[in-house]
Amino acid sequence: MIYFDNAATSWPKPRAVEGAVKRLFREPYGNPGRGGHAAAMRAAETVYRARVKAAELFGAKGPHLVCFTGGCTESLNAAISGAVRYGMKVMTGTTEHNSVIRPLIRAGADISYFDSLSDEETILEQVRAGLLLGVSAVVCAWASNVFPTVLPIRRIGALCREHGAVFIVDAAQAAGIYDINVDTDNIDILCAPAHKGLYGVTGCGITVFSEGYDVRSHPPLTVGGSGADPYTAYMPDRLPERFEAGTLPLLPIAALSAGIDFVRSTGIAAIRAHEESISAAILDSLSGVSGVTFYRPSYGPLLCFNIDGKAPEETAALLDSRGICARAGMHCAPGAHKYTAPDGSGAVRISFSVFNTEEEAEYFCDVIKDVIRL
Amino acid sequence: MKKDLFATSSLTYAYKARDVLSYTGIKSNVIRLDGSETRKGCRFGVSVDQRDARDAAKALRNAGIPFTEP
Repeated sequence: MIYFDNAATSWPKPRAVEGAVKRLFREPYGNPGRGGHAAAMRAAETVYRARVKAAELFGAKGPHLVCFTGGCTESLNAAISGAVRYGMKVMTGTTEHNSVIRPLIRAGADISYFDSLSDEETILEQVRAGLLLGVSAVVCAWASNVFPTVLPIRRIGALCREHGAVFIVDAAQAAGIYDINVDTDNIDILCAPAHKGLYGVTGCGITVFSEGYDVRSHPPLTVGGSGADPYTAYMPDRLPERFEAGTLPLLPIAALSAGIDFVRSTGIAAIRAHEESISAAILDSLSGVSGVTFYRPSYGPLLCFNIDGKAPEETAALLDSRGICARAGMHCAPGAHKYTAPDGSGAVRISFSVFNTEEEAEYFCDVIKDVIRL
Repeated sequence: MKKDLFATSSLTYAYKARDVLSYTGIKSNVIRLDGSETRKGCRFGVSVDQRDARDAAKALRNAGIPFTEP
C-alpha cells in the first residue's frame, strides 16, 4: 500500500513511537498529576518531558507554556473561544479549515477575510487594513491543508503585535515540516496536532502560549480537576493547569514525545526537502500530461488535483483500487475549494511524509496515466 | 538526612524546580504534598536535603520559580 494521506494523519510511525506506546503496556503507568506513587510519578515525568521537548521545538519560553489537549481542533476551539468575544472583529484567511471558521462563527466573531492565495505583500496590506479598522484578533493556518502554500506568519504576527491584536496560528499542516518559533514568529497561541507531522498518534493536541499572553483574561474551554488546589472554585490562573482539566491523554503524549525526538533527529529541513522531492517527482513526471489538473502546484508536502471527466471520489476510489491512499472531497476547507473544481465537487489531495519514496511517486504517476485513459 | 520541602504552584513547576536544582548541583525529588502539609489540599513540590535548603531557595528564586516552604 502507498500511503499518500499524511495531511490527515501520518503513517507509518517511527519505531521509537511504537516503542513509547508499548512501554506503557509493559510498565506500570498511573494518572499523571493525580497521585504521589511511583506509577503516577512515572506518568507525570513522561508528560513533563514531552512538555520540555514541545517547548524547545516551538521556541516557547518554558515547558509550562505548553498545554496538552485532545487534538488540534480542541486546541483551536479553546484558543478561539477564550480569546474572541461576541462581536469582536476577527480576520482570517479565505482558505481556512472549518476548525478555524466554525469556532469563530460560534464565538460570534465579526469575521473579515484576507485572500490567502494572494502574494505576500497583498496579504499583509489586507491584514494591515483590517487592523486599522479595528480587528482585534487574527486566526489563520501556517500552511494550507489543500494547497502547498504557506502564509507570511512572522510578518502577520509583527503587524498584530504592532496593533495589539491577538494572533492565533493553526499549525496542523506545518508542525514538524516548517520551523516554528512562537517567540520570533510573533505568535500568541499556536495550535498543533500530535499525529501528523510530529509522527505521534491520534488523541493529542498541543497549545503553545507566548510568554506575554495574558491567560487570566482567557477563560478555559473545559473546567474540572486539575490535580491541585481542590478547594478553589475556579481553574488555576497559571499554565498549564488552567487549560488541562481532567486526565491527560498519556499514551498519545508519550508517542508525541518520541515523535518530536524523531523529527528533531531527522531534521525539519531534511523532512521538508524530502517531501518536496516527492512532489517534485510527481509534478515533473506529469508535466505536460493532458487530462490531469493540479491546483496551485509547487514543490511542497501536498498536492491537489483532479482528473478531467472524473469526480474526485471516483479518482480516489480508482487510486485505492491500485493500492494508493488519497483523500477526495472538500478536506473540511470549503473556502479553499472555491479555487479548485468549478462545479464545487472538490478535488483529490495527496500528501507526503518522510517515509514516502520516489518509487512510490513513480508508481503513482503510472497509475494516474492509466486512470486518465479509463 | 532530614529533608526540607518546597511547595510549587503546580506539578510542572515542581519538575522545573527539580531541573533548576539539578543544574546547580542540588539533588531533589518531585513529591506530592498532602493537605496537612500545605493547608490547601493536594499540591506538588520538591524535597531537598536540609543542608542544601538555603542554596535551593536561592536557586529557585533566581530562576523565577514561585514556591512556598510548608
